[in-house]
Amino acid sequence: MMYFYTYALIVTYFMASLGLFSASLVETIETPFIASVGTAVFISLIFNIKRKKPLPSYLWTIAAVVVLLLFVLDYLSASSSIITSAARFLAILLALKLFDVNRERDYIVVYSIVFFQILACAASTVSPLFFLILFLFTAGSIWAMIIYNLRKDLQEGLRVNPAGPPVVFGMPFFVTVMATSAVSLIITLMLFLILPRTGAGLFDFKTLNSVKLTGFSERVAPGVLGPLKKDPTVVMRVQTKGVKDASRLRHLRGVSLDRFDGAAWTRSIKESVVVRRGPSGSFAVGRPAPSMMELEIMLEPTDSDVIFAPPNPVRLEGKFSNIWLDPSGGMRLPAAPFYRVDYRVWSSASTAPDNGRVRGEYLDTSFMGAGPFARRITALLKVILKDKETDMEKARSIEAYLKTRYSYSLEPKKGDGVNPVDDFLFYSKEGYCEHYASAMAALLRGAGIPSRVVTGFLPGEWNGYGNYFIVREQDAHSWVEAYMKSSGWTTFDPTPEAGVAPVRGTSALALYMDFLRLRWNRHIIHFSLSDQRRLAHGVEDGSYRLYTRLRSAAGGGRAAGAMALNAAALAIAAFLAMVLVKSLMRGRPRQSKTPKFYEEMVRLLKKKGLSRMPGETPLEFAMRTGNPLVMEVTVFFQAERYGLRTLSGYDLVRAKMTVEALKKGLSP
Amino acid sequence: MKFKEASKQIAALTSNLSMVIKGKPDVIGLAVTALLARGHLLIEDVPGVGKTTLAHGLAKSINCGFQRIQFTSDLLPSDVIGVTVYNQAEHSFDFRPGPLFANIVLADEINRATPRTQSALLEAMNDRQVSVDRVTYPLPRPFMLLATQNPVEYAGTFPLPESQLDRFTICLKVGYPDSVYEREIIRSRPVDAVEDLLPVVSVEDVGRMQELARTVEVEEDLVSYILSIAAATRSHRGIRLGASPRATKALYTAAQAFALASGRDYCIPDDIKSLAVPVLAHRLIPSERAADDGVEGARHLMEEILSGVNVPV
Repeated sequence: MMYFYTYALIVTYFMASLGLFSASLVETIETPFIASVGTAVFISLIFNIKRKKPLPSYLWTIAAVVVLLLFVLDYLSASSSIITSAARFLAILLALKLFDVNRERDYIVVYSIVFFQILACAASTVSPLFFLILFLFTAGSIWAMIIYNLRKDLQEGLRVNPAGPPVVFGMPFFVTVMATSAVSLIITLMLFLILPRTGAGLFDFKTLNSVKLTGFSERVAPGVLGPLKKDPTVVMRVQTKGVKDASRLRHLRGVSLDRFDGAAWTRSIKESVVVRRGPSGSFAVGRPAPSMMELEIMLEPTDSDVIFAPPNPVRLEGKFSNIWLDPSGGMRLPAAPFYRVDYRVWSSASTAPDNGRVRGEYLDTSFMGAGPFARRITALLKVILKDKETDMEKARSIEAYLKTRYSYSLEPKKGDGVNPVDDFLFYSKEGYCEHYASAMAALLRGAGIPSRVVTGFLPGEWNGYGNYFIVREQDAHSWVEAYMKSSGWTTFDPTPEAGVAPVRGTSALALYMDFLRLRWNRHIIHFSLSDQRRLAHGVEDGSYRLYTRLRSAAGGGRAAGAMALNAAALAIAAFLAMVLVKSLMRGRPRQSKTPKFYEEMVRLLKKKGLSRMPGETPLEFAMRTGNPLVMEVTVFFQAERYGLRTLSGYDLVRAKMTVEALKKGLSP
Repeated sequence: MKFKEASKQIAALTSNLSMVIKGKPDVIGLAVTALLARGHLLIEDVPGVGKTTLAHGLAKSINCGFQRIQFTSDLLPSDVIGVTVYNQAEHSFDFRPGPLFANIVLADEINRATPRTQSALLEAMNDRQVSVDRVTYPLPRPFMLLATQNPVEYAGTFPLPESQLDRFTICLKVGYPDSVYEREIIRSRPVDAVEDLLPVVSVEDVGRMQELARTVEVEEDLVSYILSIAAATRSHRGIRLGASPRATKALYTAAQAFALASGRDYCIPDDIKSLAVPVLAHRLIPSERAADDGVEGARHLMEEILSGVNVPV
């Protein structure tokens, strides 16, 4: 036989473990701390099961005050993060409170602590597990609430032994719980969708760790991307409009570098312009083109201010105040972002000629000097560019030569060249994207074609669950842009397939989890005012359409339509008022001393045409019905009604079950 | 004494009595109820249905003092309660207790005695004491008077006055037994059966059970029910004199006793309803038309009243 105490204990410890779980999600909380608090919770469980003499409650009050002081100290000295300190404080408080659960009030305190723990967790985690915790907490609170109320009802309303009925959790109970959960979920959803969400939340702290992005600074030496090529940290996720766009997406462009000093590529063209938000709410960064590819990019917080986009971006939409645009098409934020940056970018599918104004920096070959390196380049170019006429032909042949004659390696051997490019081209003949791109840019300049090295990302791994690319550090890439007289700045990628083939092998589950995480971030955490506005517009449009349709259906013009609408509104209002009044009436305390199960049986029998005469005693009535079940219920009824008996939970349940059986037996 | 123990003893008493009064569980129940309610019992029926057997059986089962007084028209009060005689040896007046000084007294054919003798029982029944020559002598406890009267023979009888009828908690009819039981009665040796009865309850236990009966729970609405029944008898057109407060009090205590005898520690409406006739009917004075039927008429009136009084649910 289960007792209410057991139920309450189970729910309480379920909630407590949720609280601990959410505390463990707070990244700055150490595992040993969670483990020790968990041990304390476990000890309290044993303590509660044994039901020793309860500790005096002033002990808890004293302990709470001490812990509060420690919390203040912790905040001021050690952690200096209110979230971390609060999470620690709450965890200790919870463990202490579990030693002092005697009255209803104490249970409510425990649940409140868990609630605040979840709140603290919400402010500091991006884990999708949080959603699970929230859901379990909601369900758990509903259960706790119902158990609490049931106990209260049985104790006060029906004068029932608090030991409690063993099997109250029948079908109606289950249905009630489910209905309550559903209703609260709907209300929550409504609140979530309707309440205005402006700016950053109260608990929006800088808690995400920035991704270290080397290779996107002012100076990039060949070889820096090498270590990156093994790092699976996610840098961004790129959502395409469709699979067609996905197949067209080849590069996510970051910055372009124009000057090679023999050791590293740098950006010598420093000037850039500020692009401000246009009237449409977006940033115009390029010339509009007929065919555009739309991407939504969720960029993780990085230590770089570079914005990534496919080549030839046209328009940008996102939550930033302004954008710095350099002449080569590189885009930067005013500062490196602390949060995940979510933006949409439209880029032209084709390149456009640039009116032939190419700056001299792109033709600078001073890095070659006049030594053997320059001579070797010239000799090599002679071989590659034999019989090649146009810029395009020359560029393609250099690209093809590098692609086929050099082998891809992430750990190239060191040669005797004067610089990394010399090493790659003439000595080791192996390297990765940076070497290929540097070499091609050098060769192009040697051939008199303006060129620059571009660093950015390959699209990375395709996640079919959400139709987006997961771009990781290892997808960092560099390639070349060359100026073609016919088509302007054109992208060339001399790296062989081995270097650009996306890394696969992520498990389906991991992909799915990543997808869930993305959804959670996009639709819950970043559900914004503009989303609400969009939703409101949709509702407005829909209702307007409905209104016009109603009006036209009424046929009698505007007045009739308005009248019909008014009548409908009035009817709804009247109905709501009726429901309200009815529920208020029902809410009044019952005057009758008759137990509910007996009343229900009387109702059932009345439906069958059997009703007790005024002078008939319940027992006589039961005998008249000749039904043994009625007799059984009547005996229980008498004990409670006349015997002022606190019917034991077991008897109460039996009485109720007998009424249920009677219901089934009486129904045809 | 606990209810469980009491139930056990009452069950023993009932089964003991059912050995001599066959096929009449209601009668036995009422007799036990009267005993537990510290009441007196008036058995009204034709001769030969077991009135005396019931009284005798009850006395034998309890292992207590039992006296039988055959009431006749020349019976004097002193024959019942006792007499003071001069003790020559000690030169003093000694009180010689009469047959009333017993735990259970059977007053057979009580309506044959003169009103003078009948009234001699009044003090004994109500106060459980007798006063002789300014000296009051307490009667033994428990004290229970079982009286019988024959409703058919009216010749040479003195109908009991209302005041005395009111002092009988329960008035019951034994009635003829079913043929099955009658056959059994014929086959058995009735006199021996009563003589063979063994006491199953002690006098002390009866006292304790009587105490316990007083603690039986009567819900407030059931008290209202009793009051409604009493009010109905007082306002009924066919009744000249309704139930007295003594009657309602008797109904209350009898209901408690009946509940205890039924193995409950709380009353239910059925206790009151089923006791209303045996407790109240004999106290009512029907108006002219109904009076012709005597107590039987009052019983019908009572049943009519009960069907009209709302049972609290």
